[in-house]
Amino acid sequence: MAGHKIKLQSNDGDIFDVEVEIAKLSITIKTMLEDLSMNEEEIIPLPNINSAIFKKVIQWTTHHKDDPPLPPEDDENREKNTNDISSWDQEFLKVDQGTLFELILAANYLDIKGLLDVTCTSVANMIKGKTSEEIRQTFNIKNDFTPQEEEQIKKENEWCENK
Amino acid sequence: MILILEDLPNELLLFIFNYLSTIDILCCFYCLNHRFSSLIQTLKHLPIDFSCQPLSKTQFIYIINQFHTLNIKSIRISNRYYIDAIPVFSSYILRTQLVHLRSLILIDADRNTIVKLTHNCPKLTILSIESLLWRSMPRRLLPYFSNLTHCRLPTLDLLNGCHIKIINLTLDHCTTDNLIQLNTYVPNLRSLTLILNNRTNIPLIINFPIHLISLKLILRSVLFNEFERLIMMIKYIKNLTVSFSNTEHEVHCFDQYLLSENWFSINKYVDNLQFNIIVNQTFEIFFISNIISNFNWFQRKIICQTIDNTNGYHLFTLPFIDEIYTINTNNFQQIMFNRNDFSRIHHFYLIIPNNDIQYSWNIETNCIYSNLQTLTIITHYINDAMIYFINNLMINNPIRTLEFRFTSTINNCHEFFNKLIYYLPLSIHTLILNTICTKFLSDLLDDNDNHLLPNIKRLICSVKNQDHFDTLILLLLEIFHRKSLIYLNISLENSSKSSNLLSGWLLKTNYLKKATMKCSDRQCTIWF
Repeated sequence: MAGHKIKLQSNDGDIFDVEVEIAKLSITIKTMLEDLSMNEEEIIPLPNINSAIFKKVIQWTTHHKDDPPLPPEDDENREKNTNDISSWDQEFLKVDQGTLFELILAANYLDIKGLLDVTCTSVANMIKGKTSEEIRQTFNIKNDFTPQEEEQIKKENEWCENK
Repeated sequence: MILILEDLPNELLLFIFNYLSTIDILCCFYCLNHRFSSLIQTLKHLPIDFSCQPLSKTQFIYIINQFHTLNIKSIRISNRYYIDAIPVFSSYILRTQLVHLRSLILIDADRNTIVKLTHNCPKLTILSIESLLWRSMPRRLLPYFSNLTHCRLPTLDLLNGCHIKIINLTLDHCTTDNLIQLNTYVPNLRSLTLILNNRTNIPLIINFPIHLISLKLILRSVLFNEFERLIMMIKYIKNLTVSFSNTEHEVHCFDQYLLSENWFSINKYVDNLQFNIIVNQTFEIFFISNIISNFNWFQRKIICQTIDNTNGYHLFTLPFIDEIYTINTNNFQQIMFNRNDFSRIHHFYLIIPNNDIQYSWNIETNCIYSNLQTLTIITHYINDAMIYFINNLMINNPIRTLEFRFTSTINNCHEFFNKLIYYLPLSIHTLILNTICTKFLSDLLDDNDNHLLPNIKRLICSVKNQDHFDTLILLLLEIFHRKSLIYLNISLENSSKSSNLLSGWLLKTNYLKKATMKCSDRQCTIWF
């Protein structure tokens, strides 16, 4: 039923009218509508997503609504390809780190695999090729090792350094 | 509150790890904090490929130092682009027990290291040894592996006894005796890859393992009738893949590979036939349209191209079966390819004679090389059109290694290299300049050190003499001391009078303090 809309409410109270077919790209919403027999007139609350992030999610799902289904996972090939982010997605993901991580959480909560893939790929590309010190700075990761533990790590590497 | 990476739950951090190689995970998150250290230790069945991305000596050491805390399933390690990496690796893993290790791939390891490592890993299911030193290895060098299923060796002689679980075998230097012994050593083989040359006599009778259904042959100047006789000795073969090439000095009888009728009976004998045939300098001049039309009975799409201006032909089925694809742009014809026709290609070898790249646009627009890692370009010199072409080719392909071979003296390299390097994609980490005239590199480094080669981690180049070497090495060390370079290999056209290219005072500088070096009078290799 193209054009038919449902109401979705973000955790800060904003209500969004979203086409059912677009909303159903989220497996979470699809399950609510189908398995829980929720009335399409009812407002569906999304307690884990704020309106700014939900707007981005709608923007992404609207653009990708006609995408073919994703191929099945290949367990043998553990490392996934990180080179095939479309130019539209690259532009879409030109956001600050906080927004990117919120999009990951939203994609995970709403169970939108395509969005989760592309956002995680984007983070992986930020990580690749960096040293651990650069990672610490880029992502503001606190060091919680004690001086004794750091000394131990240094010692463990010494025998190799001298090879 | 603004989220940071650490606000993500473990399941999502692990999901992000799926997009990173094990080496990226270990290098990037090494000893950041307790949470990441613990998270890495939960990862199961890790594959570690030391040959896939450039590592500094420090990164290499950090990684092997974490081995004892990790669940490592497979290791691939090569001495290429490292100095003594395998011995360092070996000395570590001999101290520890990699109980989960099931796959070991060694490239260019010496005999003693192979013996030590393989005896320490009796539970391997996959073992691969690629070595140029195979001739010096004694028979039955390896221990008996009771679980081995997949194996790649220089020759069958290295195996110790009958391995009934091996179902997949590759022999890089298959001998006549090996052909006779296959059924004795690996009776349950299902898939076999053999590299044969014209010194291997095909015996009159070979008892191939009865379950063998897939055969890949890489033939170097083996006559067609010999190859045909070999195939007909296999009782039932489902998949046959043939790669053939001869040298330009061997022109006798190889025309047979281009004749459709010769393939007809083989095609009837197997279910799935694929080939990649390069015949250099045949006796006969063929019309390509005739070659193709004579294969009308063949179900697969085939392509035929001339190799150069001599009577050389390249005939292949699609999808292309090999990992290296060589093309001369003068002979490239506009053919529509499917998206995945060249997906197996890792190395694209592009010959651009006379700098005429008129037909090259077809390569750039028609072909998608989704797994391309290395691009080699052989040309006289670089011009603007070529830079544009290379850049466009690289937009959709994550090339990691770029190699230039110049066939003439290049006077205008400075300007063009400046442009090329400025636009070089970030994915490229290895640059190989195969020309004796790299003095322009010194000039470029002198002029423009901030923009030059910002992401290049490995540089392999050559210079004319010791003077040029001294100038270049000093500039490179000064510039790269604070940048990314981790591997440097410079060779000399004219050998130095000194037995060690590196001057004594240079060895005492901070630049080389922690580096590992190998130097002779003709070549200097440094691993930082």
